[in-house]
Amino acid sequence: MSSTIEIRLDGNARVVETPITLAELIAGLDDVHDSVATAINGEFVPRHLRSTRGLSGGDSVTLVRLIVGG
Amino acid sequence: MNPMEPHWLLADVPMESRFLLGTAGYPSPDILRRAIAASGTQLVTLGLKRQLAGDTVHNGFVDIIRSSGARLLPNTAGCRTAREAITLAHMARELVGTHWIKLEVVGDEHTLQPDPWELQIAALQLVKDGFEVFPYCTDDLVSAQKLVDAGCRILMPWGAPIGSGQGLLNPWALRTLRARLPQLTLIVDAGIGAPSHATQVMELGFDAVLVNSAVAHAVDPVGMAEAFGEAVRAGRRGHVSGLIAQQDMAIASTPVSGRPFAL
Repeated sequence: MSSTIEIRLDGNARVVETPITLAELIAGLDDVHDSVATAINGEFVPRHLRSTRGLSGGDSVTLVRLIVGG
Repeated sequence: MNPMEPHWLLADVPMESRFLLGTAGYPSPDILRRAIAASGTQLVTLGLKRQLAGDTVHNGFVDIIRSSGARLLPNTAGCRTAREAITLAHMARELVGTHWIKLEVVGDEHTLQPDPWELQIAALQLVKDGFEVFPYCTDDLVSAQKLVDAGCRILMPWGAPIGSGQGLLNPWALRTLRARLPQLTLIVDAGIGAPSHATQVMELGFDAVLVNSAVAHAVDPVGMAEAFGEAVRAGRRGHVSGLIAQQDMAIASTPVSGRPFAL
């Protein structure tokens, strides 16, 4: 029987089933731009490590994309 | 191309244009595209934003930027601490594929001026991590020297607060930076409001100018982009041609002797 944890995704609380990797989290999101970079708890997680990086309760996940800027 | 100076080096990359262009605030992707072309710029800046914060519509601006042919310089706008900026820089490097980073660490939410202490901490770490750091800094010489000590080869001092359009609030400080850091690449960034400001920057001997709001928010951004491109070239040409020294008193230009009529 799967259990759930609560994480924060871009500042918003989110309940997800566990175990879950960062890659699985991203794959399950709607309307997520396919070019994002990721961080967990303020630490950069490179793309090649997303599939092996598991999420724990209370983790803060940040996804960023490119935008215009000065 | 200026036959006097076919190119200059920005972080070891040969560049022709000394006009760097920001990409925020344009009315449409097409106007941004035309402004980039009209400016002659070879480097544009861009930012990063949380994916799920507000607008997630893929509105075409980033595609325009990527297809412009210009080099991309991502920034760490919005960061308040060195740690935030370091993390965002690494994310930018993965997304853009460049080790160049415009380092911004905000110290005050109203002036958006940099926090010099956090800026130095971030610069030190990012240089170690292999980045070419373009720090957005104030015009304070001692703070600038700390960034040089941290390994920065390029500095981007402000002319005035971001988006304020005030031009060069402290020309003396900028002249001092140029005089005391002759080997450094110096690019004035922020606060430029008119092409004449950009000309003034180049006449001071700075290497380049970065402008965003003054172009993007102009009545005619494309025309303004072209004007700025010309202003930067004119200022650089003026600088290398040798400006006359300013004098307190008049020095007659017409070679007369005495008075024309003796009565």
